[in-house]
Amino acid sequence: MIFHKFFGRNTLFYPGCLLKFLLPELRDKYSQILEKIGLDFIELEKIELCCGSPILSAGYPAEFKKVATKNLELFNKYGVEKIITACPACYRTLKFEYPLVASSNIQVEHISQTILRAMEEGKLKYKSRGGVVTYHDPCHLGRYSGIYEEPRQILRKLGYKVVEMKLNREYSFCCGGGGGVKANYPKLALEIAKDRVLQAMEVGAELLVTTCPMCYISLKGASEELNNKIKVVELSEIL
Amino acid sequence: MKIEEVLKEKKARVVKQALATASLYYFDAWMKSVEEVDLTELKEKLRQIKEFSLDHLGELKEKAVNSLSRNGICVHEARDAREAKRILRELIPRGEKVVKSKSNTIRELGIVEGLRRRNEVIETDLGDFIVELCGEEPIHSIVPGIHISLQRMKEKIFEKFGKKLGSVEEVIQFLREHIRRAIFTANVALTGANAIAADGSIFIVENEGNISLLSRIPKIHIIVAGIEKLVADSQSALRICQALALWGTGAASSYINIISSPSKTADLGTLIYGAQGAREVHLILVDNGRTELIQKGYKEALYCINCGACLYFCPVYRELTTHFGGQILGPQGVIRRAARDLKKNFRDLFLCTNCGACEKICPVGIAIPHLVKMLRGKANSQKLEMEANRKMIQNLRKSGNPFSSAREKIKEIYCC
Repeated sequence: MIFHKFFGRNTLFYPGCLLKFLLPELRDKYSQILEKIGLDFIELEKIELCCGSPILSAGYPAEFKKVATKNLELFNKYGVEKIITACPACYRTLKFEYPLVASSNIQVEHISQTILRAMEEGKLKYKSRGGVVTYHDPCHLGRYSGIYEEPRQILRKLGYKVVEMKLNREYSFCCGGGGGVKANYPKLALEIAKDRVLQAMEVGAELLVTTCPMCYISLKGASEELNNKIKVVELSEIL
Repeated sequence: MKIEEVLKEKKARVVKQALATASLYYFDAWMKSVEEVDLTELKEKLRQIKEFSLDHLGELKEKAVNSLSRNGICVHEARDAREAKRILRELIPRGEKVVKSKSNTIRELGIVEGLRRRNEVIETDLGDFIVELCGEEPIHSIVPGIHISLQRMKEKIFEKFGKKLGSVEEVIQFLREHIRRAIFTANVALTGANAIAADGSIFIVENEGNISLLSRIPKIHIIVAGIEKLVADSQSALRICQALALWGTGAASSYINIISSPSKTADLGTLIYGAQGAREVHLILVDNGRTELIQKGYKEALYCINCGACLYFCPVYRELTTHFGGQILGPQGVIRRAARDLKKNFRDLFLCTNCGACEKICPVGIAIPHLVKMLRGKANSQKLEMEANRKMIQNLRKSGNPFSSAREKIKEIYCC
């Protein structure tokens, strides 16, 4: 293994800034899960940069190129051949935007894909439980990346009954936090998030599950505003 | 109005509720209608039609002018709203009654307001008629008055016409009679168009039947349409019309009017115009910033066929309603306004969550989030920046992440 670490073929766990700086307890949860699976991975938390998604969507393409180039240099230096990320925006950016900046053979995976595979291969043990949950598709993971089923399958494997909100998968309704709206117009972001929480309540779910730190922060804040009638959880919290 | 105020405004909350409810009905109907449609293929086809048209706008315009003129339709060209209004003043005698149908282009140009100073103008679309009667603004390109309650309509009808009505059927019956009387006593009809086939036909889609009457009863029919409505041929035009109906209402439209010439007869030995329908048909082709939009690199915005499907799914439009976009509603309006005057309108670009719901539902797959990002980039390069964004960039340069580093200090959660 050490051999690999020097000569490449490394798997990098890239939690994303939101998990690193705002939700470190969830970041820890995810790295524990990866350890439990028995994955050999490296972390570059102190030296890696933001993936650049926020600057790209805020309209700073030149700045984005600089960030992406620096990150790619770093990934190459550490022999990264695969990245596992827990953030849908990072996933989309690393997987679809980085190759437009410089050619790269790095494989990118969202952690829900890693986890589902581990469950199927029997590498991740879990207790079956009951309850009705609904899943909120993060825009970056669903519409932009086409990952709709993995998180749902994980929930079903965990023994939950998954009910769907009317607007789901490719027609999912935004959490309100994307595109910089949470920073530029926080009140607007909150109102949209409240709409989404109400949609989840309408289908009688006990939990509103998502796999995105931004959606999680947005929806959780909105649920609090609506007196916590539904619990908002990030996937890692129920694994 | 400030965003915070709009979010609290009672009127906007009523519209929001109406949109939310309507969107669910719409979604069900639409899903059912497209069950057996290969959406990818159809969208690709529509995109090809629009792309080809906009890439060959000059040729298509020339061809359309020739073929329409040959068949007796007068074609006028207007560079902007002012020119369109001047042409209308020349065509419509002062004091003449004008009956009009719902048209996004007429609305965009602000034609009615000016015309009302010299002419009586009557809306014939039920939705627009109600919206106007209630002193409201249309909130959707296809269903402009869904936010107005039956009770409110009845009150307004009583106020204006002194008529007490009960059921929705009674309201419709009353409006139908009222509108028909106007149509049958007017000499000038004013409508938009949904597609103009360069091989010589104008296509107008409708559900109510008012446009059929407008194009047949008054002596003069004036059609106002943006140049982006031009397509190569009638087959392409028909596809656009079918898609417009399907995406606009979730079902097929009741009627598609195809107008290739004024009404005519040769039964009496010589060709006479105005046999039973309109004697004169005028088409005013309007640019109003469209060429500029193409030149600036935002051609794709003009792929829009005005179905309004995005308005049902845009989370921001649902909250801010007519405050998100302007005369052209929603995402399209935001793009068109920003492209025209970035300094004045750049802030609206940052209301978009980039969620991509609009692009997904759009029958032409217009990459609205991409256009928004392009315009954001242009704004930033002109130093038209949002305060939070500027901080985010500074943080990133300094510490490699968009936040300031200490967790307890993180207030502006800039990400995604």
